Amino acid sequence: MKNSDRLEVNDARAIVRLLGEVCANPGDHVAKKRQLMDGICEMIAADRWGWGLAAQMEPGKPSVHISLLHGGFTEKTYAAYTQAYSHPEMTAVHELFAAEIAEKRCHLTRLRQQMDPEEGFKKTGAYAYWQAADIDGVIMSLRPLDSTTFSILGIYRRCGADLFTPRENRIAHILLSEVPSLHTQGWPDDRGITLPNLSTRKRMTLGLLVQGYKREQIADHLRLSLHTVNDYVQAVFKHFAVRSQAELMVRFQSGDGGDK
Amino acid sequence: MMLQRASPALCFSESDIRKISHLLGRIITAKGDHTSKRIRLLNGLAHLIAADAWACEFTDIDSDGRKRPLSFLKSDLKKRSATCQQFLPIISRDDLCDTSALEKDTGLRFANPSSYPTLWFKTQVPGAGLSTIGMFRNVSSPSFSERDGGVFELVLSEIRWVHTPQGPERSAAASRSLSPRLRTILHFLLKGNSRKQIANLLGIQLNTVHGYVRNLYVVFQVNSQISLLQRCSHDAPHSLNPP
Repeated sequence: MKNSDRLEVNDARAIVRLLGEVCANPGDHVAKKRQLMDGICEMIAADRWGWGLAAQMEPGKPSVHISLLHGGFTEKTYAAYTQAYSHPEMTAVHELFAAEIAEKRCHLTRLRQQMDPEEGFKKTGAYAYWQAADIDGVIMSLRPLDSTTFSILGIYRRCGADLFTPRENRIAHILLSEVPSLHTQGWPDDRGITLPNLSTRKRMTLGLLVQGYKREQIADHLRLSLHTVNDYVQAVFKHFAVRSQAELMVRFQSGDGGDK
Repeated sequence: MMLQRASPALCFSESDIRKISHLLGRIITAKGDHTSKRIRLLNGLAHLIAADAWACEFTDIDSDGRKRPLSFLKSDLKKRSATCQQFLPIISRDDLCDTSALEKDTGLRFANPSSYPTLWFKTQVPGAGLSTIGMFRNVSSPSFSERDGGVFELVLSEIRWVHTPQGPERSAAASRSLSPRLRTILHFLLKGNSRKQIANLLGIQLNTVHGYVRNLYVVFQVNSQISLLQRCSHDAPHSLNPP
């Protein structure tokens, strides 16, 4: 057996044990996703994770994502994380990965070292936000859902810790790529395909609104006036044809709610 | 003698771990109760190691020191050959319990165990007796390989729930402590409906809805619909359980 096709016994056991535990979880898909992600973080010593949708991942086009579920963040680091991945300059950083997935059209999981070997993200305006989010090591996993949308996952390690290794990347990839149904459940009916029509600021506002942040908190974290935030919130509500934050949260967290 | 005890493997091929993960990935979102999950897992595992049949049994020692079967589960044999039917209860005869009860339960008769490739796994389960799972091949088939034994041992030693006859207590029990009316209101709040909409939908006064919502917030220790929704997505797994 070639070394690259082999898995250590302890890793194999931990993978089977974790998936077995998720099988026994009586909760809904949100509970199962959380258990899976928390379990992965424990296995590979990761500190935070986010799971969401990417609506556009083509080379040359601005990358657009929204994180819908997360673990290990504080209110402050999560807000910085939202700003980091929404930053316009991140598109260039994702260029390599975007090209690869556009070509292969299958579930891919990559280390930050592979996506951005030159550490170009450190020269972008987004770097300050990644630091504020206390994120250094990154594993990113993308699974195509249809022709334009993706299930997107990030697994992160804090600044000062070692970067993830290929072994850890492989464990994450196996665990994430063999649970196809968890990637297709719990998104809005249109899978956020209209997200690119929102401006970056409005998308950031949306990202925080669906996590239940109050308008005052959003203004504080994004360094905007409450008045501006109110305008963004109204525009976001109008875009998704909802009348309240509660309705918006339900729309993004459990589809149209028809499964409840 | 082709009876083999599965022994732990020293390493695994990535493709085997992927196949096991894929099987578990499908069970994660499959509908059905605990027993149907166990059947799915054992069918899938049998497929992975090219076994023709499997059997799973719980036994207990009664006060006379005799082994006594508690429950018995086996692969669907209707589509399989008659020889499979004959060798299924081997493990019971050799290692476990009174075969006559099993013969009566299953309508099977017993065959000579030495002619069938067999893998078995035993484990003591607190409160559920001894769990024994066996997998078999037809009489003319080759023995199970080391790899087959390793995969078999890995899955059955790491997945504990396959060794419990009943599933975990339904966690929804706690939400039953809410009155039916409160559960209805909670349902609508979690769907994102406003109080006004709830009043209209249920044909009750807005003030009545206010009262119910206040009660729910007290139960769930929150102070807004947004926090209630956050609790449900963040503090899952048992989102409907009051703290």
